[in-house]
Amino acid sequence: MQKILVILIVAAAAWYLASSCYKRVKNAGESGNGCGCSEGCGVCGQCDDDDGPDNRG
Amino acid sequence: MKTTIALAGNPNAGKTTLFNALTGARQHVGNYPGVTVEKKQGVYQFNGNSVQIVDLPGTYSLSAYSLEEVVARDFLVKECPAVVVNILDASNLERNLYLTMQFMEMGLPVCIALNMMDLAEKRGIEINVSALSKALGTPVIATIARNGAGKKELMQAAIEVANNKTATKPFCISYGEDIDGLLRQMEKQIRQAGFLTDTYDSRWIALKYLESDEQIVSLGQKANAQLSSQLELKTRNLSEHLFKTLETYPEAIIADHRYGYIKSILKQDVIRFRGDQNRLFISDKIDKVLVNRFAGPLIMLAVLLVLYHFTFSYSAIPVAWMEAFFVWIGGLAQTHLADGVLKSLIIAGIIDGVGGVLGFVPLIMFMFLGVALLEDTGYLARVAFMMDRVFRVFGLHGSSVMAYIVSGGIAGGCAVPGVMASRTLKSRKERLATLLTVPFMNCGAKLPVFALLVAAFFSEKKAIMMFVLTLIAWIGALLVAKLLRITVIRGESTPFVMELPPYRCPTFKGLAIHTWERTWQYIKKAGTVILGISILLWSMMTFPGLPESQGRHYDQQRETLKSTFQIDQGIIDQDIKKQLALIDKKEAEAALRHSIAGRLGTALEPVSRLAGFDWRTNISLVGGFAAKEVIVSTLGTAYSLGQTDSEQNIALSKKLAQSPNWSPLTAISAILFIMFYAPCFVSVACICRESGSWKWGAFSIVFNTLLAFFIAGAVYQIGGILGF
Repeated sequence: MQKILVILIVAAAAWYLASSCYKRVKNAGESGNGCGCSEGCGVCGQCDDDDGPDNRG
Repeated sequence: MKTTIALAGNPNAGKTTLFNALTGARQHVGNYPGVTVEKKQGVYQFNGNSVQIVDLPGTYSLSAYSLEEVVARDFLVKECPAVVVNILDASNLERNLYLTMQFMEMGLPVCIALNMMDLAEKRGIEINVSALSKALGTPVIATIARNGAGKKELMQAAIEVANNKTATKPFCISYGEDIDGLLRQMEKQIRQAGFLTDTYDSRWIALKYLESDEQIVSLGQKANAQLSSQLELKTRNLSEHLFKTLETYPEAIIADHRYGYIKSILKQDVIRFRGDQNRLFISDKIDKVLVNRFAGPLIMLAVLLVLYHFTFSYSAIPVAWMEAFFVWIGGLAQTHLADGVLKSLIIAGIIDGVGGVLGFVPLIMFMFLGVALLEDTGYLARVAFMMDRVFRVFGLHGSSVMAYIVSGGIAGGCAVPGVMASRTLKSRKERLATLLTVPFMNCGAKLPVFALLVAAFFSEKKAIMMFVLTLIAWIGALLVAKLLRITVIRGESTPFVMELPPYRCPTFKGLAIHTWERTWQYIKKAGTVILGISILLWSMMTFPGLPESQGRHYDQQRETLKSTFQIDQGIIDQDIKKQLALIDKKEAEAALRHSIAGRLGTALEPVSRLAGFDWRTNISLVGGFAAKEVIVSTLGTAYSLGQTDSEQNIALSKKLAQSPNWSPLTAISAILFIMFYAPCFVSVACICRESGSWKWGAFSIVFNTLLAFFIAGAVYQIGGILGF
């Protein structure tokens, strides 16, 4: 039971990282408002959230 | 259809502050020019209607000289906003009106926000707002963006301009006989041929040809090469004529006449100076000392030292609390969870991994507070100004300084916006040299790694160590830049002009927002990406586990030990306990070595030993390519997995200090390696994108890692010989 739970946690972490990596590489330099771009992605940690300030209104 | 309002103006005029005040966004506002490189968008609610607000990059003119100017001009021409809200710094009215003239010459509907009225008043500048409005023929509203004064009136006026459907006529300034005559001829030719007139005004196109605007000339060549060549020829003839008669060029005459026109407006009772106009303002007085050729650099170093001293002194107690908290949580998990892989994941992977990174939150917070204070007062702009002199020696541009600072030049930045900031450089070679060297700065991700190693081995001299590390990062980056500029990216340096913003007293709210935003990003990253990487690396450090034969070998050792001693009803002698713990430790170490990550670390060990790194450190350094904070979390996991239960309940810095594989010399070698080796993968992706080639990304990985290993190896070997 413990092993199954651990496998699930590791798989979830791997999935999260893969999607996050893809997004980060795709958006690098294109977003992150602190870096002067129009859509925040959190890459550089300078914008407020992953959705960007555009959605705050 | 949603009304679009563009905010435009000179750098540091308060556009982003006004944008934030209008939209409720929390865009980063810096008291230095050039915070906004690209346009940003937000929404403002006006009488129940949504108004789209676009914050354009700050520009001094609308020529196509820099990227900011191109971004601003393209937006204004292509997106046709209903109105341009031109934000003027009231304390520098004459210079700010230069851009206003260009908006009006383009025929854009303009509404003016006369910002920083409080500062102008303090400087003894009185502005007659209604006289200015009358002279320009456009609404002018006095504002103080910092406290939101005049915000509603401004939006009311802007909406009225936007709703006025009559087309705004382009403003015409006389540029003197020589230019006016030719302008008229060119304008006629352009209008008759319909040359680019679907997008631009004909007089404006002619003006841009006379200013030799690269972007317009290139567009013209594509649209009608023959006419474009004729216009270029006319411009050349005029240039030659002007040079012969006045020793000047059309661009200079155009700028002179624009300023002349502005002066004539200001003389119409628009502006009045109280007292001596030539007196030094407080900012100038302070600058006499702070940017003094001799005292300035010394003060800068002292400020840096005070910042680090403040950070390490005040954060020491909360950092100790955080460490104790994670040790306590680890202890709880140790006691209450059933033995097995889940317990190992929670303790070694999550608590010791992520906890190690989160433990530095107070330190990061104090550091960010200090940096926010320097930034908001305007001192960072002075640092950039002073460093410009140094940068030119190393083949870099003055604009590179801000890229370095954004990347963590003072500490706590990020290489990604640093690489992005290099966009402001016009020379490709200077841009390349900048974006390849900004990752050497001590970014916020390297900070907890350095703090951990400094706390473990140099706990008495934390501030001095951090100060020295900052100097090493700058010197290293500049030397590499020089090396690149005399080898692979040779070329001349271009001149740099920088505006020094006035000193401002930071608001408590502003400091709190800046500090919290950056700290929250750190916490968020630790709880998401770092947590994910920690779990993944834990699995790589745990599986496939020891082969059964080896496991049996350790079991046999335990059985043998127990059978050789007399154990009375479960009371185990202390000696046996110690020996059993030793076997447990050996088994844990063997399992870690046998894991996927352990094998990788061990495979690298023969080489990495030259710089003093053992296989555990190797695992963390490889993990650091994902994000530098991972070095801390991986060390936490690696040292947790290789320890016995009793050893687990101490902080990571103490574990490293007690480890036979670590010494002060190893720590220095590791710090230098981490400072200079491959940037994290996001920075590499950004370098590839900004340089336009994956080769420069690959170059930064290979070159930086080799350089870092050479430096770390040299320091370790020489230090060893000297007996450190």
